[in-house]
Amino acid sequence: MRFNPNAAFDCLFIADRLGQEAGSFTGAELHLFGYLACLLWLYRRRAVSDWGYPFVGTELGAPYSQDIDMSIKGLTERGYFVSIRERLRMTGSGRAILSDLAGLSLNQERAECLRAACASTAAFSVGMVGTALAEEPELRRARALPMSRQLLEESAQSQLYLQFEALRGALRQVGDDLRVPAVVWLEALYRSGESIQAL
Amino acid sequence: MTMPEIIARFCREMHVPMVDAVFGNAGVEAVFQIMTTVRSLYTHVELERVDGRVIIYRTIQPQGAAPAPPPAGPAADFAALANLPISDLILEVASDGRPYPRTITNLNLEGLAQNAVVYHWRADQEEFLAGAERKAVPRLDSAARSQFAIPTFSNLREALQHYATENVRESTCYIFCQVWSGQKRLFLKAKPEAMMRNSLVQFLRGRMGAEHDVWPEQVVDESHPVDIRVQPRLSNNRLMLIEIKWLGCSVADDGHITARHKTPRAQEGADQLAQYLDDQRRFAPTRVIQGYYVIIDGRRENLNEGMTEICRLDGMHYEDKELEFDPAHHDTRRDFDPPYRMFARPVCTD
Repeated sequence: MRFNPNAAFDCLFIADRLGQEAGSFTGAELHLFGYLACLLWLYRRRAVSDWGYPFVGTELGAPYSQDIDMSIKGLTERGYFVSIRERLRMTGSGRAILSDLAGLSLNQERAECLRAACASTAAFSVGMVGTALAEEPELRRARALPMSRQLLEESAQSQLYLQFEALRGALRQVGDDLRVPAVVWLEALYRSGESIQAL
Repeated sequence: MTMPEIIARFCREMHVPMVDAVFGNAGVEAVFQIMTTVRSLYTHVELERVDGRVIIYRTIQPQGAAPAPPPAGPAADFAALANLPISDLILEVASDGRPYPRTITNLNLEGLAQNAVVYHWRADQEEFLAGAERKAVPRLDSAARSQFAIPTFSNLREALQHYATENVRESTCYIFCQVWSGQKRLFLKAKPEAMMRNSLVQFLRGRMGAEHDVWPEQVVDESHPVDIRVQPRLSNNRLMLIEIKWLGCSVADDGHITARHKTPRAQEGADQLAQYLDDQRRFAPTRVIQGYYVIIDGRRENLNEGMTEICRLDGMHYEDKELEFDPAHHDTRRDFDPPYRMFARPVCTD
């Protein structure tokens, strides 16, 4: 089975980080944190096409990538992941190949985004990250329209960039660690969802 | 409030940008290490059992200075803290990223924060300090005692309260309604314990099953009384044990009374659960164990063998009559929740 090398790297990276926290992870969590990392890639003013693979939004407001899905299957078939009671674990050989891939300079920029996405679990539970991200403009639109649709198409990014501009403006006094805008934005998204529900 | 306004508000109010502004990238590294440490600590330690304060800090070295070596002695073993009484807990996250227990006499938080990022929890309030700044940690789940803790025990409490009103009060659960000998709900069937347990297991699996394992236990004898075990799959080391007892009269198929359980029966169950909690702590020292005592109250006033109906005065006589316990384990120990008496109403004639 051929799979997207960017998606495969992202799966290994996220699996390693989530596995350090909880010991295991789910496929849905790889889609979620892969998408969050992709959004942080845009926050860094990089082109969505350079991320290397697309996402669609499900009716439940969750992100999904076919490339991530295929990577999970491929990595499991090759013994880098093992499946245990509906959850996945990374194996020693998975960690070894990640170590090789993470050292490549071509992966440094995406690793920064993946690291910041996964670090958000220090501040929030995985469930809270999912709830917050469902309030992101693209996933909110996906939830409102009862069909799977591709996320982050050029024409649909204006609201997202508006939020990122606000974030950059509010954080202009602080450093450039990507983990800071990541947690502030997730907190704001979560709270915006609360205020909508309260109406 | 518009989204840009919400973003601006949380940039001002959150502790992470505050630490970044005070200590820069070294501060950001420290605050994420501390949050990870706090989250790990609270998977092993239940904040309900902590008296005093939790303080975790990471010293920020002046720029260009070599990192201080980790303190002598072993790093903190959070699993070993699970069932220990904890008053003040002070940990330093050292240059190796690991937490070390510290003892600081006359601790001055503001002084410590001059060159450290400091996390401080006390009585469900938590904050970060950095330099001369301090900010409370926003809490997204109001049921939790910390933003960094999963509210496991309180989730079960809430579920039991719903079970009492939604399933037991009017015997609306399709399993629970089978515990009665007749449709008027005057007498219980003989040995209704298994049906009560199955009803609660089914309810808890529906409520909490996505994140918890809910297991019915086979009651072997009176010294092993626990009926249900509830255990989070991943989030932490908690183990919740539920004991169910019932009060009232049970009858055989021919209508003769097989058991009358009155107030002393409630005390017996409480004593058994307390003893069992003590035993379990020895077998599972790394788990934080909490006992929950459910009493299905089917008592009726002036109820005699052969009766087929009851007036409201007698049928509802015990609805608001709380049970008294001596000893009251729930008052003297923290691992024993106040008993959950669940009155099951009869169908009255008036």
